[in-house]
Amino acid sequence: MTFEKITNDSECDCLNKSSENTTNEFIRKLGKPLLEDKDFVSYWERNKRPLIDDCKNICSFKGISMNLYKNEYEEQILNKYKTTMNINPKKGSHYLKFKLLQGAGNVKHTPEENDTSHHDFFKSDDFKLENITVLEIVKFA
Amino acid sequence: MNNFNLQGNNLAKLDFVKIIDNYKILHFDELPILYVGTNKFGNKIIGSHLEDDDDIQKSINIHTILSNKEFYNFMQNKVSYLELLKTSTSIFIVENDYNNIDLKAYEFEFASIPVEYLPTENSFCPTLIRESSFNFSVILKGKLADISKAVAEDVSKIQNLFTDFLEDRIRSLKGFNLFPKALLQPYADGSFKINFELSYNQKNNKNSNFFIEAAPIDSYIAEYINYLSENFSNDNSIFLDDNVDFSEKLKSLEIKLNEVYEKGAVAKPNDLKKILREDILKSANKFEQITEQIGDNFDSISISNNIDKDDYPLAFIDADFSSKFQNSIEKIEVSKSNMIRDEDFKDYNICIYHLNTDSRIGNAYIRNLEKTNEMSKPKIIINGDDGLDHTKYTESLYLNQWIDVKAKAKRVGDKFKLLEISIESSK
Repeated sequence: MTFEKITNDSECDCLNKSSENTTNEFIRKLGKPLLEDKDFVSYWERNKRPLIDDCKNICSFKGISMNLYKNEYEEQILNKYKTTMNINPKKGSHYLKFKLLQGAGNVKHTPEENDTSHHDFFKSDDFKLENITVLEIVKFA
Repeated sequence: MNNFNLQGNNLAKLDFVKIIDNYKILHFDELPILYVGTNKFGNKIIGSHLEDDDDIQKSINIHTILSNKEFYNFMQNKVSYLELLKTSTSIFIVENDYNNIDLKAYEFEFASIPVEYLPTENSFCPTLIRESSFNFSVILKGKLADISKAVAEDVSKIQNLFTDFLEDRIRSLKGFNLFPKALLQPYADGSFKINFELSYNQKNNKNSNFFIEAAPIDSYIAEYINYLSENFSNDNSIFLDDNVDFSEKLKSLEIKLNEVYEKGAVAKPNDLKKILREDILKSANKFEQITEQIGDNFDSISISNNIDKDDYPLAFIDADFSSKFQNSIEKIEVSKSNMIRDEDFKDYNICIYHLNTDSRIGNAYIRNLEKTNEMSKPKIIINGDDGLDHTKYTESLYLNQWIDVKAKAKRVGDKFKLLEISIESSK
C-alpha cells in the first residue's frame, strides 16, 4: 500500500501508530440512507482546511472519521451522532456498519472527549468503495 | 448547493457576528458542530455548522447573538437551541471559505430557515466534561455596566459579600482546618467583570493533610452556587421542615460534599445532612444580599466558574430571580423564628442607611421596642411605583435624617427583621 495522498503535501506524520485493520467492525455516520463515493472523501481531499493547522487537526482532516463498533461503546457513539442530528438534522440520521478489506488503508485510534472509540481511517492511494464490506446501514434516529 | 436564499437578505457587518474571543466548542463531530464565543463588542454568540458546498468551496454557519440570560438558560439546559433560534431577533448566516476566512454575513429570520436545517426540539446543550477551579467571576450587566463601568460602592459591596460567601464555604468544611483567602484579580470587560481566586492554607503546617488537594472542594463550591441559583427556591419545603427528604439536586450536592470528605481523608461528621442544610440556609442569606444589589446601576449579575478562558455559568440573577429568592428566604425565616408580623400599617421612626432606589429595597436603623438604647438594622421594602428621588427616603439616606414612616414590621422578639413601608401613607 502506498499513502502519497496522505503524506505528500504536509510534514505531519499522520500514519504514525496506524495499522491495517481487517478484523474489526467500524461505523460511520452517513448523510443519506445510502452509501456514496463522497462518504469516503476526506475534508482534505475536498480542499477544506482546519481552523487550527496543527498536525492533530491536519491528520484528522486527511483521515475519515469512524468509530470502532463494540457494544460497550454503542451508547456513547449514538449519543454523539444523535446530538449532531439534533443540532443539524442535515448531518444525517443513518450510519454505515462496515469492515475494511486488505489494501483499503490504515486505521489509527484517535479518541476524543466523549468519543472514546473514535478512529481515523487513512485511505491507501488505490482505495475504492469496493475495499469495504458493507454490513448494514442503520437508522439511529 | 444549499437551500438558503442568501442573496435576497441584508448584509450584516462581519464585526457584529464574527467570534473573535472566548471560542469554545460545545459539540464536535468531525467539525465544530456547535460552539460559542464573543464578538468584538463582547456579546455572546452561539453558532452551528450548517453545510459545506464543494462546488463553490464555501461553508455556511448560523450565528445568533445571545443575552446573558439566554446563554445561561441554554448552558443550564433550560432551553433548547431550537428555542433560542425561535425567540432570537438576531440570527445571521455566516459564509466562509474552506480556509475558514469569513466572507459575508447575512441577516436572517427564523421563519426563513429551511425546515430541514432546523434543530430538533431535543437540541439541548451537550453534556460537557467539565473541570472546576477556584476561579470565579461575578459579571454585572446592563445600564452602567454595559459601558464597562460600575459604581465603586456597588463593586465594593459585591466584592465583600461574594468574598465572604466563598470563604465561608471553606470554613464550613468541618475538620479540614483550612484558612480561606479570596483574592481579587484585575477587573475585566464583559460587561463589568469582577474576578476572584479562592485559596486556602492548612492551619497546622507541621501535620499537613496531603490528601486535601485530592478533595474536589472547587467543584463542590461550584455545584453549591448552582444549587442556590437553580434549586433553592423550589426546594423551600426542605428548609421549612427537617423531616422532608432532600430533592435530587440536594442529594447530588450532598454526594459531592461526601466526596470532599472521603477524598480529603477527613473524618466525615455524622450529621452531614443537617450540616449541609444549615450551611445552605446560612449562605442563602448572604446570597440574598448579593441579589439585592441589582437595580440602579446594572440589571443582572452572572456568576461563573472559570478555567483558562472558559467561563462556565453557575448563576444568573435578575430582578425576577431576586424577588423569588427573597420570598423564599422570608418564608423560611417566618417559619423558623416565630416571627411576629404587624397586621396593619403602624408608625415607626427610622434612618435609612442603604437604599436601592430602583428595586426599592434597602436597610434602615430602628430602635428596638423594649431596649430602646439598642438598634435593629432591618431590611426595608418601599411599596409603590413612583420614583424615590427627592423624597424623604432619599433625604434620610443622604442626610442621615430620622423620618417617620408607616410600615408593617416583622420582628423576632425585640428585633426588627423587615419593614414594609407604605409610600402613599407617609409622603
